[in-house]
Amino acid sequence: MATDDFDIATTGHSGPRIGFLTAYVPEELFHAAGFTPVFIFPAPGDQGYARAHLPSFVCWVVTSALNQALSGQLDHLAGIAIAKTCDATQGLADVWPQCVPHIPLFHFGMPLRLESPAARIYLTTELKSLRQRLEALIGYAITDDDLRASLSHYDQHRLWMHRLYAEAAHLSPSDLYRWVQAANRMAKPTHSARVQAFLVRRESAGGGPAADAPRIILVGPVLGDAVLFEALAEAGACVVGDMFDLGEDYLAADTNAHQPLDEESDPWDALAARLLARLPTPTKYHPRRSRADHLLKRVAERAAEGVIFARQKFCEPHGFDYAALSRTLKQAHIPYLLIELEQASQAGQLRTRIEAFVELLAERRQQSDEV
Amino acid sequence: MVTAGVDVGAITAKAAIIRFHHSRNSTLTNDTPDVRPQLLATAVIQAGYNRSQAARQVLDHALAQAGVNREEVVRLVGTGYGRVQVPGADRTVTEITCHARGAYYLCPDVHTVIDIGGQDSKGISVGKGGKVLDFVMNDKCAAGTGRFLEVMAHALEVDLTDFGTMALSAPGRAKISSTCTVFAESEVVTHVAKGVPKDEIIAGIHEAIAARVTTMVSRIAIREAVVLTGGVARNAGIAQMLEEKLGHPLIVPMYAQLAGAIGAALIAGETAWR
Repeated sequence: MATDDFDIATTGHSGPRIGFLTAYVPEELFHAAGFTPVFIFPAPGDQGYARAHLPSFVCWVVTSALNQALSGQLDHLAGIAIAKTCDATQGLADVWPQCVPHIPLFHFGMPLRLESPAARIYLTTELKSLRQRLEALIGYAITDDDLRASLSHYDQHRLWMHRLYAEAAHLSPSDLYRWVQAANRMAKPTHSARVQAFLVRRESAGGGPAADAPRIILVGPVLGDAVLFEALAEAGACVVGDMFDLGEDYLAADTNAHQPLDEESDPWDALAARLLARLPTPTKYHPRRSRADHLLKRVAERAAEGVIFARQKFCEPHGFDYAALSRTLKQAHIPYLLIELEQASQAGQLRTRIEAFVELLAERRQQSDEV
Repeated sequence: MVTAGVDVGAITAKAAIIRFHHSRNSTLTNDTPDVRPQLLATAVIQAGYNRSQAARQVLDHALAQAGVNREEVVRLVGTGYGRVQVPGADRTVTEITCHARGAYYLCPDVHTVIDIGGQDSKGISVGKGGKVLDFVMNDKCAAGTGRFLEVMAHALEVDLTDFGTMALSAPGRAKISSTCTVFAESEVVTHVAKGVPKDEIIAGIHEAIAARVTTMVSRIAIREAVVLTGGVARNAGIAQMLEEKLGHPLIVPMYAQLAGAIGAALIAGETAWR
């Protein structure tokens, strides 16, 4: 692992950055406008600035974003993009113009019922409205070719991330986490090049978890806490996939299912289709895309032995999602563990839970081998 | 073959020395004296600030009591909150896995373990051979743990060793509604100010802990026999009120506080065969 693989400062990209929160922000459009979209990961430390504006039951992700903005840590951003997902992010978008007027807000509407024929029409209209607001900021037109080129970069990146995830079982969970986190914060062409170089290096390097490391899939909203991945690495487990809102289902695309963008097709429509086609997050509804079925399929395909739900405290959508997914896992006799992450997560207890879960999986495997 | 387990918890450090007479195919629970692993000695000391030193000392105490040299111990497993601070440990295993194995050794019919320690409480569903099937653990809040009892005993100026018996002999129970240690302490202060008898406040504190632990443990399937382990198992008041709330008889083995260390020593024996 090169030390600067994850260093945004060494990307050579000097263009403006747009911060974003939540899945469903059309990153490709911001990239087409010359920006690098950067996810605002929650930061540790006192959240005093934000606590003056937000109630205590708002999750750490949203609270920390506002706190970073109020404390001047986001002043380098040209703007912030928030897509309508949960109540907390909607509330943040509501207070942002009053609290942080010097960082322009790009609020983006996303339909709830993704299967509705009207959803695509609405979404395309919303994308074009966002395009106008962005053009007003940058002072020039975003052409179809600009968006097409951006979509192509993102497509390429999704293919590289697919290859990276295919290697997940051979990577330390901490390293996988750093690659995924960097993917949410780095210009995609740069990240693609680094992943590509890494995969070439890896072919000769080896290393990573033991071949018989218990195989785990992670589910949750965002990758909020490095302690989780360090604990998994220390416990000797490997992560073989995830269902984070901004994780595998967002960042990686199956090579076989991948369809390159047709040069004649409407890129705005293609972007809307991409947003609608992804695995729904718990805040959206699609009658034919069940998250439970998706999880069961992923567990089977990756030969995963257990699932860890890494939920942010006060994240209601993932709370409801956990109830449904855990019931499905229970019926399928697949072990699972729920951990709640928050700003002051206790590393000791977190480690004990994760280690005990990995021990449980190892003993389960041993028992099954004996039978 | 002699093995040792050292359990370094938040408040105490425990050690167990076990002699294995058997081959790897023998079971932990076989009652034949020459086959069942033999618990040679145990020791408990305060963990204090220096966990490594406490681990070393408690192991030395147990070894001396067993009449065994350190060199005779073929495997040592560290467990508990301070498991990584056990000098010379061949392996670390979580207290969840160790309590399950230890409880199975102490009570072969066990299917559910409730472990209440100094700063954690856990519910463990146990399967064949003392293997963990599922578990729950309290979050970072200290309510429902030994620390909660310590704070309350201090607030009421009562010796912790008398706490459980005072709770059981009280004619009534004051209502402690808060599940947070800090807020519960302020409720206790309110009861004191109102002149509520001390033993009734203590009974209320015990009931509050039992209720909290029951709520947590109910997230796993509770199947009998239910075994109480951990340092708080020594408190008869907690055991009785927990039994009431759970609606299941509760078994408190003689070595309840040492279940983690015993489990660690047993796992040390299992790994020695591999």
